[in-house]
Amino acid sequence: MITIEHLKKTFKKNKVEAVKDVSLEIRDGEIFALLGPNGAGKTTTMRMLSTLLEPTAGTILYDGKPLEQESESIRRRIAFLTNEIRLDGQFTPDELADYYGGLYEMDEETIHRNREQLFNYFGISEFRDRRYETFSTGMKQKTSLAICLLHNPDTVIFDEPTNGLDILTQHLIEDCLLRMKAEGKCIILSTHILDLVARLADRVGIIVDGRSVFCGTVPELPESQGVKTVEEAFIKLYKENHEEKAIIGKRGKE
Amino acid sequence: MNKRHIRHVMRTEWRKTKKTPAQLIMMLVVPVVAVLFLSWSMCYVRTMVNNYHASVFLPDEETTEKVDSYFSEFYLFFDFRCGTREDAENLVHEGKSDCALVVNDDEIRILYDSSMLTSSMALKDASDCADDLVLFLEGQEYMEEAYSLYPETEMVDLSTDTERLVNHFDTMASLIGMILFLMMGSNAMTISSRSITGEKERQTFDSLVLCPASLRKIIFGKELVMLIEVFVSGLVGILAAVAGMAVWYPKEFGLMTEAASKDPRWIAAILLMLLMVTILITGVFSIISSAFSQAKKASLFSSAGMVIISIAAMLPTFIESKIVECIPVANWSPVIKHLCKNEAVGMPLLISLAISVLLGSACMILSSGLWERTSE
Repeated sequence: MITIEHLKKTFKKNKVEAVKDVSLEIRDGEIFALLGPNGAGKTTTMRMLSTLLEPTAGTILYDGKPLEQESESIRRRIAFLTNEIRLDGQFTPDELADYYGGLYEMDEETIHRNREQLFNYFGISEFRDRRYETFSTGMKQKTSLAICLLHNPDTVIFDEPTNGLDILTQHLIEDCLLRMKAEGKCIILSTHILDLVARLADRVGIIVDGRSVFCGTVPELPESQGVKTVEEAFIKLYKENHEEKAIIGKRGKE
Repeated sequence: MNKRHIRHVMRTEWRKTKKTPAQLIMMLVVPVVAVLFLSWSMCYVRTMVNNYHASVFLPDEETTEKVDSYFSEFYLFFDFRCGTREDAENLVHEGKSDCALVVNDDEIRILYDSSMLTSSMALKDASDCADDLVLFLEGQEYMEEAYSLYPETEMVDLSTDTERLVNHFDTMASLIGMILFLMMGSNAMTISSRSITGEKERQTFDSLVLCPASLRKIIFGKELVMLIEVFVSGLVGILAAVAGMAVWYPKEFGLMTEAASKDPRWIAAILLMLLMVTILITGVFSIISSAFSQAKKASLFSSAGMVIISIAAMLPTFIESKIVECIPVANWSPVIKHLCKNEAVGMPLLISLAISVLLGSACMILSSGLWERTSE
């Protein structure tokens, strides 16, 4: 279980306050969808969850243990996949599995076993001896997925995993998410496809302008806003919180 | 420190190098071609220099006047004077003349110093001049008759073996050493921008940060591969220089192999100097590459760094300070001179090795922190 309390991130370079106050709770064996408009702070939150960024303030607890104290052991348990992270283009999927498996201190037998399972599942075996840089977007995404799941993580963080993929690869990734959920893994999913959220997610967190404005189950979301669909609830929440800020801005000027 | 991660990163980095033909060419072929070309061109330049100066020492004033009035028209680079063999030796030793002909009653000697940059054209012309002098002085028309009076001209090399070796290595260290240094630097620049800055530019850096292996170990593994590759490129260059010496400077090559077989410090000293330069270069380029997330910027700063290091390293040579022997890059020439003269080199070499290791290690340690910091 992951508990996030009053998380804040300010980038020193450009003095941008990307995350202002985010508090969420993500449980094991569930798919947690993180929603928000572009620039709301979802990716920054996910990067902090995956140890790539250090929070400016607030706490992240993994099973009650603070992230900053247990970052090395937590890294062994998590996987983070985003379009911004790429793999070395010179290597073949086999070589990438060897490289990252070694960095996760996996023994050769485990690397071999997990690699074969994942490569067969994602259909990578047929192009396993080709360089990563020669792959199409879908092939790259499948390979990235296989490599990031190689160490059998119990927490998986996916930032828009189906972005720009064909329908077949999208189905494969959806199936993969459901399988991992069935295995009891904790899955955090960021997406703009609300249909996907309604179909797959158990609980939802919404971030607007760097602040978490909702955290609850999928059915609770439209209910709490007095609307029928997830989409309507999302738009309503966004308008309420975003407009509120705009009004404050205007009042401040007055 | 868990060495498993370091070894693993090293294996992967080496695999990357093998997959990059340009990198292999840069490491193994370019130093050989450049050093061999330089050795050949040095030899060629030495042979073809025809703007020389030669002197002819004659036994008395009367003969000098006679010879000068007749010969100066044909031998433009020669001057004719009255003097002894001692005068001639002094002139050659001081480097004021490429060679000197000493004419006595019963013999003509051509004195030269092969430890100096002697034009072989000067020696050839001196030999022709000696033949003409024999004919002229004996009033003969044919050489056969003249030689019955004068024995064949003898060439006398005034330099000692040590002087020859010192001179040769001095030239080698300043020219080939500098070229090797620049090549090792550009090699390190390419490797560091590929394996350190490149990780950020290719957006593969985050996938490394996500691993439980610490970034310090990952960058250390990368730096070790860089160190080995730069060292190998330098070693290949040195071997090419030795091969070039065997082909174009057989005399010096013979002297060097003889000295090296007698005293193994020769090989140890050369390898130590190569090692210290490698450590310095690797450290400097690691820190420059770690500070930037774009290869273009890193290359720009690396080039500037290379120029500054070269000038800074060579500066003490110009100032002729004694500190020069302890400066890792500038020390190769004085250390070689000491070795040739069979003088002690241990202390300056050890001090410069210690300086290199300290500076290089400090740069490598700092670079891991910088690498992490520039990721945000």
